[in-house]
Amino acid sequence: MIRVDTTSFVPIYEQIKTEIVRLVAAGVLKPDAPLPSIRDLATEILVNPNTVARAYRELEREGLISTRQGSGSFVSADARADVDEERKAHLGRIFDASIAEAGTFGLGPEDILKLFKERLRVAGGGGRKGGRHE
Amino acid sequence: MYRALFFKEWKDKLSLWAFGAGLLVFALLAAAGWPGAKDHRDLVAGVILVLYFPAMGLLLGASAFEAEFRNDAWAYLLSRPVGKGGVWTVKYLALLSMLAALWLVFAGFMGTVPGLRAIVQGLRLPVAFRAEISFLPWSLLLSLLFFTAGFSLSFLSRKGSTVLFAALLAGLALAFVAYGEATVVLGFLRDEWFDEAQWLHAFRWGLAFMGAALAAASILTFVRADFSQPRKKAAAFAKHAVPLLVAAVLITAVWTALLPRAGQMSISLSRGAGGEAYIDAFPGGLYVYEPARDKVRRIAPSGFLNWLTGLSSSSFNAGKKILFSKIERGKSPYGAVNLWIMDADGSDKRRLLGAGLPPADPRSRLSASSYVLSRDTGRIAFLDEEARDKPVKGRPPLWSMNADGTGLVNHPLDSAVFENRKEYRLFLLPWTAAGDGILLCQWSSDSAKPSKMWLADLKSGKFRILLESFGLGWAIAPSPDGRWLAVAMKTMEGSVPHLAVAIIDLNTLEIRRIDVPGERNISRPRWNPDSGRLAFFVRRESPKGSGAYVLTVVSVPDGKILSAKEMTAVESTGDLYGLDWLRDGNRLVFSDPRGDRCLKILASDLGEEKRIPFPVTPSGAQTPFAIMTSGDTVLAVDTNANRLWRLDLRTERWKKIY
Amino acid sequence: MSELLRIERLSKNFGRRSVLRDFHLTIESGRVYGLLGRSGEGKTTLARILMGVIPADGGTIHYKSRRITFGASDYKREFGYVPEDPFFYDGLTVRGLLALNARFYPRWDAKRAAADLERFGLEPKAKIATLSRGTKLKLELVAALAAAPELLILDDPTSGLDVPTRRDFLRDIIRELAASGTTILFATHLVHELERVVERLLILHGGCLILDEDFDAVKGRHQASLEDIFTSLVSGDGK
Repeated sequence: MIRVDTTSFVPIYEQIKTEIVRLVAAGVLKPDAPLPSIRDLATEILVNPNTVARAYRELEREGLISTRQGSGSFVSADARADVDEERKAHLGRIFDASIAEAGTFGLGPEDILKLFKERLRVAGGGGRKGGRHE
Repeated sequence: MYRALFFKEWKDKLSLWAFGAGLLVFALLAAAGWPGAKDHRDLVAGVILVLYFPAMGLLLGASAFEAEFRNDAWAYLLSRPVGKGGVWTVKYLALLSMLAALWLVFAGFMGTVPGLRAIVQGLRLPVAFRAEISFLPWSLLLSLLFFTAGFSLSFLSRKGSTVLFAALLAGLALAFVAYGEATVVLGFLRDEWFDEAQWLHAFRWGLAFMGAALAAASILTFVRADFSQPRKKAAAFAKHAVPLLVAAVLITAVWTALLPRAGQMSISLSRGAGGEAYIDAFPGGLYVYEPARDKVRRIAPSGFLNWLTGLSSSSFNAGKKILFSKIERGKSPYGAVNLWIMDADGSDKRRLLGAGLPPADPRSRLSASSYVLSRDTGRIAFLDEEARDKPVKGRPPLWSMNADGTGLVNHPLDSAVFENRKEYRLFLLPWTAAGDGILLCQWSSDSAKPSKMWLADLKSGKFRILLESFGLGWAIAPSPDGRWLAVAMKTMEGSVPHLAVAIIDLNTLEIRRIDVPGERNISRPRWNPDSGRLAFFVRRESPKGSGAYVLTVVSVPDGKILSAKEMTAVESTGDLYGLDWLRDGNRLVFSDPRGDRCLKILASDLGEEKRIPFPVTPSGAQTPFAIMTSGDTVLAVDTNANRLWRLDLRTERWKKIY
Repeated sequence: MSELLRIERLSKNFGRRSVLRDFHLTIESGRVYGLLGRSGEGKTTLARILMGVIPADGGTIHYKSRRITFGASDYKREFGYVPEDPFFYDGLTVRGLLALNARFYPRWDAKRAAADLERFGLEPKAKIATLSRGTKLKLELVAALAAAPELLILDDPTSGLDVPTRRDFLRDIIRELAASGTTILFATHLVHELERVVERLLILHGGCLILDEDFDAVKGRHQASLEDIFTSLVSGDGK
């Protein structure tokens, strides 16, 4: 689930943080869901456990996860809210970029909307219901 | 963890050990069971000791680090939390135990297979008088030395052949150095009689010190050097080995130089003409026993009396002068025998013959193999050692001179005296009373030929035979008063042997025979203090085959046998040196070290009067207790320990006095 | 983080070639140190000197503030060592080797060793001589870890092995790290494994360290992959 790219210039702990955030935002990791232990995650993705520990620590400081002594780390109950904000901002950025791009092709807002609805219909078969996979 | 390392060594080298053990067992079986010639068995046993064990030692030692060189396992071992010194030591001990195990196999065979022990113990190399190389202990030492050499070098190279070769060279080189050192130190630095037994001792210690130096260099290098760099290892080893070996050489030299002077090689007793007991300790010196002080006093250093003649009292005269020979440095490695004279109390020593005299003096080139003082101590007769056995052109062996060295005369010798000189030995007997003739014994070493006693008339130069007898030699005794010479004789009439004691009157040269019943021989006769009686053992044939020994006492003036008693064979082993008269001239004392282990006092009828046990239990092959009476004491020599004991006849107590 | 190992002015020459020269390094406990260096430039030498296999020519080493000399051996009880080439006695079996090794370490955990053997699929009765290189590596790790070392020195053990084996090895290291927080000195010339685990980056060149910094900081500053960083620094035209 979590992937890190060692060739990237982004420090690994940042990448882990980003991945976890992404998973929470996508709803894959629900609030109060347990996170893999540092050991398990480190072993799975083959990174230094200290690195995982650092990512977890910072996420905890940012309030996204919380650690209960003896039980491990969990997604915070109110993680979603923060994540929602984050997600909105993130998706907003993506939409802004698409709109700008469409504008360069000479599409106006109504054309963009029509195109968007058509794409939604095509994509409607897969998605949330967990139907066909591409 | 050391235990684990120890057993690991065994596991690693087990195949090598098994091979060696198999070879050994095979060879031992061959040595024990080879049918036929004993020489073959001796050869196999000898090869085992001389070749196999040192070679196995070398192999085991050289293989020490073989497993570590494979796969770089040395890096594994050295990265473990274990001291390098400990690693070296455990390996050494483990491999040594493997060598010891082979020796145990050998010992097991020696202990159980009959005959094998006899063969092994018989493997000896006589080097000199009382010094011999016994193969077994030397094999032990050499196997240990080569093992140590192999082990010490084994971590220096991964190539086994290199290590073997280098270790073999090292072992041989060290042996050579030790050999040279023993010779140099003992032969040159210590100015004394070269004792082979001591030399062997020094050589052994030299080997041990060198081996230890090599091992020390090895462990020091191993602990400090970089194992991964062969050249540096070798250089470090050399750097350690050289000073250590030099130290070993020095220590050996000091050790050898400080070795206690060789113990007495022999102690013998002689009676002086005045009846005193002289103790000849070689190489300690000449001592006289002083009964008043109950002590021995040294009167001359490193001298020995001419024991070949068995006539010690020919060197003495009326207690006034003593003629003696002293071994000094000379041409032969055994030294030169030089003649000296001194007063009976040891003072006024003068050199009479030998290299210490001025080279212009002809006496400086002479040495005496046999020498006699005349009765009045005025003249000396001697046989020149060089010419004794073969004639030197223009220089017959018989000489005489005054007791102060002047008046040297070379006497021509009857050629008949020299006939068949390979079979005869010459030695001198007492002067005639008048001082104009000398008795000379031509002793035959061939028991089939008789020995001859000649009278040499020094004035006329004529020789005549006084006596002929088989076995003339030891059995000659001059009387205490100097007048008579008793000679044990054996003549053959046809095939029948006859024994007798001849009494020669040194004044008139008349000879009287006292016939003695017996067939084999008569031992050295002993005169009693008043020169009236003789005691001796007669060996007779007996149905038992080994012969019977009869102690016989004869009265000289009337030539009658006073008493005779058959002794046991064991008792009569004292016939040479174990019999003497007590001061009363009546009773005898003789020593029985093997049988009843005591001194036995015999009455005039030879009945046993008393027994006095010895202070120590003698053992060994040599005649254990030679005795001589002196006043009311009996002096006894323990020839195995080379100690002199004194028995006080009144208190019957022994005391060690030398 | 306490100072575990302090190396100062270490030097080592082989003949005229000076492999280590004025080498300084301080290792703090609990961290993973990656030592990058080209082949033959001193990584193995350093590891061997630390393990007391060969002596240094100069310099000092302190472990837990105690001076370590060539002759010292007790400190090695707390060191684990996986060498570049497997160096076990080839006459032993797997079980035999572990039994021998156990005798050196008071903290040896036989149960753990047995469990690790099983996990790696190592046959105890197998003869070491018959094992493949990768299997030997696993055995090396088992032997090193069962002694619960404080410092684990890995001297380029995975070079020459295939990727899956290297991955397995890395996984085991990470497990060990997660379980015990062992300090690791990971010397290698293969950068890819290192990138995932290294916290402090060391680059050995010309006999001493030309870099001794936290990996994240280095990466952030250079904005390049470790491979590129290494290449550029070692080739001489680094920033």
